Amino acid sequence: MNPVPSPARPATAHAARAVRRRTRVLRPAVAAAALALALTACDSGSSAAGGAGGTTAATRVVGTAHGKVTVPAHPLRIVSVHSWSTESLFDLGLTPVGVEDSGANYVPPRYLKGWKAAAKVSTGADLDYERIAALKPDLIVGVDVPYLSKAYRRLSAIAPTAFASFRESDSWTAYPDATASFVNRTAQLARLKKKYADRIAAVRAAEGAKLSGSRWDVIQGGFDSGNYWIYGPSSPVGDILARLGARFASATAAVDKGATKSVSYERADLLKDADHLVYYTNNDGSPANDIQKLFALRAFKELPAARNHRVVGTADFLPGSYNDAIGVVDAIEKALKDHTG
Amino acid sequence: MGTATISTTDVVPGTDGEGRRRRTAVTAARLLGLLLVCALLALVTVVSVAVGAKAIPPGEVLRALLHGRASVDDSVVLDLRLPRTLLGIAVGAALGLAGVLMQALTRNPLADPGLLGVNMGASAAVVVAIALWHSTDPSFCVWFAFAGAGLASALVHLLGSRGRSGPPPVRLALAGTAVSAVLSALISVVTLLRPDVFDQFRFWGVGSLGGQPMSVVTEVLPFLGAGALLALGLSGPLNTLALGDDTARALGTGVRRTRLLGLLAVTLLCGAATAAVGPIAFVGLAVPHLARTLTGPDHRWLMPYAMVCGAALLVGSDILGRVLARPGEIQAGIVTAFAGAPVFIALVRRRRIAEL
Repeated sequence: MNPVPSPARPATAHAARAVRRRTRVLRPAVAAAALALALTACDSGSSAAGGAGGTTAATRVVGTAHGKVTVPAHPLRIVSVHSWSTESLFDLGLTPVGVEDSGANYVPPRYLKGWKAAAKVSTGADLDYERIAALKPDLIVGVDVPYLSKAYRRLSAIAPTAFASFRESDSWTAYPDATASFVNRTAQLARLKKKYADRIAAVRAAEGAKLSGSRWDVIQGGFDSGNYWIYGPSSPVGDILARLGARFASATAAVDKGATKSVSYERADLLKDADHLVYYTNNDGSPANDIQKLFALRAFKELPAARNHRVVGTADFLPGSYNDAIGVVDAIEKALKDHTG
Repeated sequence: MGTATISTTDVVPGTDGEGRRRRTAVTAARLLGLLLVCALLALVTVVSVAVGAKAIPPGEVLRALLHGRASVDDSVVLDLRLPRTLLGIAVGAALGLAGVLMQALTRNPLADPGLLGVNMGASAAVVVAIALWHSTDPSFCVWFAFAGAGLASALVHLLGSRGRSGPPPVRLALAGTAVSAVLSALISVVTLLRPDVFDQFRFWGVGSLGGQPMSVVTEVLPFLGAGALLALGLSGPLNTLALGDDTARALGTGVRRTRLLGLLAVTLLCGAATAAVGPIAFVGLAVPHLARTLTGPDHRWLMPYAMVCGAALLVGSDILGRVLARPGEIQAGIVTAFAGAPVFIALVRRRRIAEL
């Protein structure tokens, strides 16, 4: 049956065909866009959390990766564009109005509620400058990793921007320390440092013999399929283990400062002299970054650490704050208590 | 489908006897060549099982193959090297064969399996699966990738089809490009707005044979087998199609049917291959040209050659990736792009791209 002509429709058959053809071609694009929107909507639900409005007139000058920067003495509307800064801010008792989105599964549980409430202003290297500007921040903080370093000029045009210097070989403590300096919360930082030091001392006192008598390797799933990554003694977890007095097994001990080693699944045997293995989990406890593929292999299951169920997962594997680091200590202590003798 | 199996290279001038002798000689040379490339594939297969990031004595490798898992080294051979080698052979053969089909169907020497949107369809479906179910389990994703490849292929065919000869090559290629662009945008939108999806998708985004269990091999093998049988059955009609639609029709070839079946074969081959290991570049483009330098344009020979050469190239690339980055690995998808590009450029510089 032919469609009934209507004034709104093209007058000629040729034009009608052209429209139909265009519609046919556009239909997949529209369907794809609708699907994309539906999929992206599945995980939304975040809303911008406004802090107290207004800024203070007093300022101070802080040292950053990009030189001296004048920042508010008491910033009230802070945007964080890096997860480490975000975690530090929460740790210091501040609630950022905007945060980066590296995936909710990577946000430590203790910060998840606050993180979800904040507006999301970036996904990795993609920064939403308009959204950041709309939040009217009085301070933007972050870490001077390469992709953010490139964004510094545009961000500093929106608000004073303070980035912590980034070097692969730096200790994890450099970032909370720098963030505390940017937001003028050094007293709170000192309290957190003491809390962390006390926790380390307590675990050393209780479990020192076990820690010094066992060897540890630190691993996570590799982003390069078929490989896993071995972290060194200077990695965040390595640093915490060293402070606890633990010894490193050969795989972790062999990794240079500031480096990680990508290793084929075939070389699970590199972990054979480890009594304990520490690995990265998502915040729901599931293995992060596909390391379960390594765990499924017999070559892994035959390792002493795996046979003795001494494979320790932690969502605080890459700590951005002192409470994250205490989370690592908690996981290690629990593993030691679970395996007495 | 028509039954004509005329070959553009088998028409040898001269007397009947002379022509027959020439044809016999050419056939013998091609057969010998095929045996040689098969021997090359056998060699590469042995090396793939014997060599890896971990040094395992050849005797131990043999013992593992003959007697099963008695030690950890045996499980490295049987659980890691054997599945990736079998997968490399199956996927490499599929991509080589699909490349031949694509170039024949579109009459475009630069066509590769990605041109029909099949790879992008598989990728988009995996992104959807990750977004909705948060799983990158190969056994789970393989079905989505396959369905995505099928849907993309069907969509391209619908958009590109017109007339009684089936989709004309240029319109098919344009439709494939358009659908690929839309699907690529879909992937970008989802992975940009959903970091958790991007996080999972990146493990699949670079084609890799590593870390895949044997179950993936068994899951995709029926589809690859069906696609290969279908494709090989089209070798005669594709030869006549190379002479032009009108000539092919005059010789009794069902042009539309050949193109439809060809598209179905490409979907089966590429969908299953991409589902199993992720997108692998260059094999589908370069291997048909490499094979064509050995066989000429006769699809009856070109297809088996492309299958064997594709398998050897992919497995060889995987070995390179395992050996060069010890104790780590470089993904086969990266190595094929690095190794395939110079080979392809050399082929192009040495001789004119063969007419299709």
